[in-house]
Amino acid sequence: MSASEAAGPQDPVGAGRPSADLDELIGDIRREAARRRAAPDFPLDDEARLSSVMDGEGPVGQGADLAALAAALRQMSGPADPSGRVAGLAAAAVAAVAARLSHLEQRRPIAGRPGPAPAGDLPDLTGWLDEWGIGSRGRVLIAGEGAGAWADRVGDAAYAIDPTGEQYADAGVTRTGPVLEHLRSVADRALSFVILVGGLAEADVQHLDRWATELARTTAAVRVAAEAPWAWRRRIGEVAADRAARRPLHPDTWLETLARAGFSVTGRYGADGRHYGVEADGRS
Amino acid sequence: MKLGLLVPRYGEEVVGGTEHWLRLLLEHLCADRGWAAEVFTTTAVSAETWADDYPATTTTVKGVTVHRFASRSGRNPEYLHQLPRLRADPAGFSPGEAMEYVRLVGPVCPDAVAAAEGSNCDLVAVTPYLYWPTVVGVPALGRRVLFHGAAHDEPELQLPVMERVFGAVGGFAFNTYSERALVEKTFRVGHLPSAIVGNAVDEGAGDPMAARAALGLGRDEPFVLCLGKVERAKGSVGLASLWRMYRARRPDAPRLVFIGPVHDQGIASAADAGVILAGRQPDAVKWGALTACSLLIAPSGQESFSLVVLEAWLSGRPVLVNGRCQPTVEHCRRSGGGLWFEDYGDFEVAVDRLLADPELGAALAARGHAYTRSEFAWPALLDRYEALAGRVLAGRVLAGTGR
Repeated sequence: MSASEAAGPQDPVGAGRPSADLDELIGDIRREAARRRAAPDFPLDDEARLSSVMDGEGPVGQGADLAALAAALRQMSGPADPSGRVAGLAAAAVAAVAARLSHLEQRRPIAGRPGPAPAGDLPDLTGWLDEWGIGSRGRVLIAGEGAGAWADRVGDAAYAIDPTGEQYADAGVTRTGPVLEHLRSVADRALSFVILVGGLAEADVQHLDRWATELARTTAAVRVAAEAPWAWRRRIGEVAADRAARRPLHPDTWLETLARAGFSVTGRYGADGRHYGVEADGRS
Repeated sequence: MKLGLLVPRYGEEVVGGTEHWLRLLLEHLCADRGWAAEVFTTTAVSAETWADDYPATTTTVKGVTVHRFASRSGRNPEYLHQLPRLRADPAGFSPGEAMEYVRLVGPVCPDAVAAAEGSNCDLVAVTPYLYWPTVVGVPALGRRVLFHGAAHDEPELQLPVMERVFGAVGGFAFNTYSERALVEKTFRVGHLPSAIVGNAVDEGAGDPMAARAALGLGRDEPFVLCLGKVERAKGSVGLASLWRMYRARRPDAPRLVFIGPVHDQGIASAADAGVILAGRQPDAVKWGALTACSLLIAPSGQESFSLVVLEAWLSGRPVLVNGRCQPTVEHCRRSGGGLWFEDYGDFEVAVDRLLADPELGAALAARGHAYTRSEFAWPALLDRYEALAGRVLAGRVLAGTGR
């Protein structure tokens, strides 16, 4: 749930105030702090010293390199900067960058133009699950299908990931977040199947090697269920399709990618001719 | 469902921390959902020593069967000598050195681990991640473990033995999304069942005027509050220093009150007349102070959940948290109801705003209140926990893991 959703229509923070959104309020505070830092009476050295204390008491991982750089800058002073004021400002700037990066790390990547074939547009292809023999052979990851119907059909073995969902909005067995990032957190050969549903908006052509590497490392088999390329080209137009930042890949692209990763692959089209499936098994 | 709990200390005298939270969870699961529960623990109350405070016997605590076993050794201060190296290069510890460190931290209690392993519990909850019973017990219990790691971004998490612990469990009950992100960034466990369960928060009661009297505050004196253990690792020294600077630039600023046991005397040199160290106080004083304060500051950079932030919101008070602490910032972001600081500059501006604009503070607190009520009330939390336990159990069955 986003901050604005949490606030609700009666929220007095938003009612007639300039800081209707928490990010705006925080940004406003940062700007005011920067303005005060530029004033001659602001204790920059003391701020730098206290930040070092707080850094030392903080967590070890996030932004550690930048925090170390900020600490080093705080120690700097010399003939060109006898008061250390310039170094202090630089340290504060680096610390601000580190903080901003840390916040960005927490935020969900915002999709650019939406993919033309979201999972919701797919007809019910879950019958393919039976044909694929997916059931109780081990852990199954359903990627790209947010409604949970595929995971429900598979049962207890399945969990799902929705790359288009809001941050902090897991629901039942469906978690939200980038699929590729999730695959990187999965142990070697921990999955029996990865099922990529819909266009899988994240599966950008430029990153196919990463997909291939992670799929080969984590799963015994891959299945793709997506709308055939000519169907969505007709729907949104050739030019728009060519310019789409994210798009459902041509089945041949999946076949080639997965074969290169060592899978034995076959492809086929659904009975309606508008959809295709790719089956990739084991490693040859 | 029969749930076991392997935990280094357990009992009504154990206040605060994940052990306290797990006790409440077990009691609610038994009373509200009809679960059976059994606890395997040591005779300790104090995490500082793991000394034998309870008798080694089986007893019942609020409807839950508790088996207490004597430890072979408690917390050995020798571990302190390893801290500098641990902080500098935790991954550089060999597995043997890491196990030795864990042994020194304690409590070494093989009987509790063996009893949990030999029990007929469907699942065994284990918490927290860094003590001896967990490091030894989790690999033995395997996929039966529903893990409440309460992981922090701290050097101990990088010890080589931890990969074996986190990789062995059947599923994870995370306190926050931030904790899950940290664990999954550190270990390849993303495929295991997990849920963001969090902690339930019960609202307490306290008379603001009585709290003011107990804390030595005037009837109408505004004050800023910090709750919890007073020690360097909780950001207390940093906050005292920040407050001293704030009062130097704002001579009329209110006083800052720390409520909680003082574990770090370094606070005395950082504090000045604008700081009150009230020490440990009864719950009624804590809740009275929460109602009476102008705002709560949570300075810790290392929390896995932070109940006090949610307690402040339940009391209608705004919060300001340390921007280095992902879980508390997550509470602020999810609710839209809290502010955070990175350096003194934004600390000063945020405090100025909240003290000068009670309406803003009340509005932020209202958002936090709604978030706390919807996400961390017992029924919602027990629903999440039951669903997670079902998935972990199903995973065990699917994997053919008899134990």
